[in-house]
Amino acid sequence: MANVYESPKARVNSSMLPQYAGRPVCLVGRVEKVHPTGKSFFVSDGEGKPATVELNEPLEEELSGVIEVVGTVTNKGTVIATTYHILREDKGTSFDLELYNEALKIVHDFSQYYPFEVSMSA
Amino acid sequence: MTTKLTEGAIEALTKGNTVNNAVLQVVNIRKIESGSGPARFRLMMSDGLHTMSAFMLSTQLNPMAEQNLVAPNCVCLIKKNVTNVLKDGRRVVIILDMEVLRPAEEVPGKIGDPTPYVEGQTKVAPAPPSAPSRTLQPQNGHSIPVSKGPSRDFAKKAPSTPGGSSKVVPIASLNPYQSKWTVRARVTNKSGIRTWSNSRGDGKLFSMEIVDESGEIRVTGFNQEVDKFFSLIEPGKVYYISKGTLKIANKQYTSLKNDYEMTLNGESTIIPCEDTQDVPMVQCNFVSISDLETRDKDAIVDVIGVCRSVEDITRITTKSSREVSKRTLSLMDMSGKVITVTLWGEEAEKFDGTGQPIMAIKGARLSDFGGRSLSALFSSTVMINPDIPEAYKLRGWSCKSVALNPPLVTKLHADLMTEKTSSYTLFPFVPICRYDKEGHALDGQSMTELKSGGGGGVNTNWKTLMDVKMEHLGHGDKADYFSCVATIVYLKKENSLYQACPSQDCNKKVVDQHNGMFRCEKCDKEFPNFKYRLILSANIADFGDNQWVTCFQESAETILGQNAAYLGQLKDSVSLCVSLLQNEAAFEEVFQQANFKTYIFRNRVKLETYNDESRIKATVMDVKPVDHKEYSKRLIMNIRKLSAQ
Repeated sequence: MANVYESPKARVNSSMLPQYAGRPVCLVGRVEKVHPTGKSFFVSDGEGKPATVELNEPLEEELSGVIEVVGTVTNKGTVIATTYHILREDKGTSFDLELYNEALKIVHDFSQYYPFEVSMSA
Repeated sequence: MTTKLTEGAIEALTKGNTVNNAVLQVVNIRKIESGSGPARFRLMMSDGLHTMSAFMLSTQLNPMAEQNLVAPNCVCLIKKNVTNVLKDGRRVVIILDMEVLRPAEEVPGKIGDPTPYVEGQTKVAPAPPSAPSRTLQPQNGHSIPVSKGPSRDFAKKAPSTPGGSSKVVPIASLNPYQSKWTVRARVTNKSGIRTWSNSRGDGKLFSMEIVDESGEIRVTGFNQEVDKFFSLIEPGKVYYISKGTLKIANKQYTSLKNDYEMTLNGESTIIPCEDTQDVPMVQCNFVSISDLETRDKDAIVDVIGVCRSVEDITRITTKSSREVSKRTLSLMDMSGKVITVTLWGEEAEKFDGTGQPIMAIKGARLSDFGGRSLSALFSSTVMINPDIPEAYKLRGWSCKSVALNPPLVTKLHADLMTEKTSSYTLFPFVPICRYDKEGHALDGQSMTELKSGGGGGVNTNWKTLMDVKMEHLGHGDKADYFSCVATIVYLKKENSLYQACPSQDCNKKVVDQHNGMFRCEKCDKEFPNFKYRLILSANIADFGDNQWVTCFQESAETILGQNAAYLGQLKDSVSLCVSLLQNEAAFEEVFQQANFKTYIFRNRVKLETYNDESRIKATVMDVKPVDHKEYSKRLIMNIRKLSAQ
């Protein structure tokens, strides 16, 4: 598997995950629930659809709010996180997940104008 | 079933007698095209004995003829009519209201064997022209039985005029084909005297609006009539007015619901009337503020609302370099919507908005300035707390809640005190009646875009810089305004500051007298000091193009993030060689820091010509930070819209 850091990561929402099995993606969603083991958590995207994020190492901090996960999609449609980043809403700017989802759909609907996956198709 | 015609009606009408509810048959109908105004229809009617062709339909009945409801052979009930005597003594009967009793298809043909009525045959002398008063004398009641139809006969109950010269007729029945009439009406609005002077000479005029229970009309008097009548007329009083000239109304100048307007002439008389009880005050057709959005620009409308806030009076200079007072205020009505209203001149000066009065404006002009706003015109009538049912309803609506919920008042005041009140007087110590009965805040969505609005209102004219050039914005007679999201790519340091007149509201450049004094040509005064002001040339760019723009004081300060006075200090110390290097660097730094920042610009563009060279001059009216959410939404919407095409 190519190094997730080095390859382009498509921005996706929950319902697009199955098409990206085995590929690196970037998923933004709201943290809904953390598994008691700390080795996975659940997010909901801008459409309210759920997705499961799996971790290689158990979590060492509490998660809440909007989170950006970079990882690889499994055949089950879950994401194995390589890294994640919490978008801190208390820092002033609120993140509009619904609006983000609308923009995401534009990127996919008009992919000819957003050639982010050039090296993937090559 | 045969229909009984009112035999003898033609004879009575021809003699000038009043005939009410006559049943007549249409023999013929003819359309008369007139150069200006609507077409008229002339009818020949029969009462079974006689025919007469001098019947005219009043224009409001034109649809009946146009839809062929009134056609030869049909039988009609004449509900309301007036008889006019022409100069040569002939009479014309104007039909004001009629009903088709039997349509033409149901009537086999001509009823009876009518012959054209000739007055001489019945040995009745025509009314002598010197005594036209007989024409409309109230002879109804004995000559022809009055039927009890549903007709709203205004004339019947109207008192006769003091001179007894002619009977009082309703305003609604006035038309150019009558010459002898009197109306009894209340003056609802009276203009000042206006003068004109052009190649054909000069003169003066005044106009007024009068109303009775049937309708309203605009009356204008020129020159001698100004001298004769102007001082006599008091707004709100009732007068008998007779013998004016009627012509088709110019709708550009009036909102009155009347196809005609009246001009006073040498024969006109105006006599005050004491018995004013049944004459209504003002006729208004109030439009809900929320409906103004759908009306056309420049429409003349009547509105009523609670005056929520008033700005201080300002004086502006018009294009014709006349100075006028101006005051803007906001009105809210029961639709919960708010609109900005501008008053001018005397109205602006005498307006007192204390205590949130109810304000009714008749004949305000709707403008699309800042979304939707209203302007009171010279011809508008502004009424404060008018004595009309709509005003009481509105007052009841607006005050209900405060009484129900006293703690709310306290909270409201607290809210208001924190609101931005710099240019607004919000009367914090009177009950603020802007809550509905449940106590929910009625913030009143404004129909007028506020200057401080975040991402710009719905009506913002968004353009890319490419659009501006492609569409040749600013090339028209009037300046164009547009908004764009653009990034500053260059700021010109040189000549970005100038020395301006220190007096308030005068920003004219001063001339250094080199004796420690600075002269302002506009104020015609010398000052020992000046203030620095900014005039900043900036190059702004978006993805498609770039544009040189000029930013004045406020917008330049926003862009540079420093005020003009501080920048002036830096510049002065540079020229005085005081800690030169340090300050020059600081000045430079301000301009460097301001580069490559992105803003929403609202610009004005206009083609200007210097030394035979024309070029587009763009001036920044307003600079605001980009609201990224708002901007993204608009971009997404535009992409979706474009892809759907």
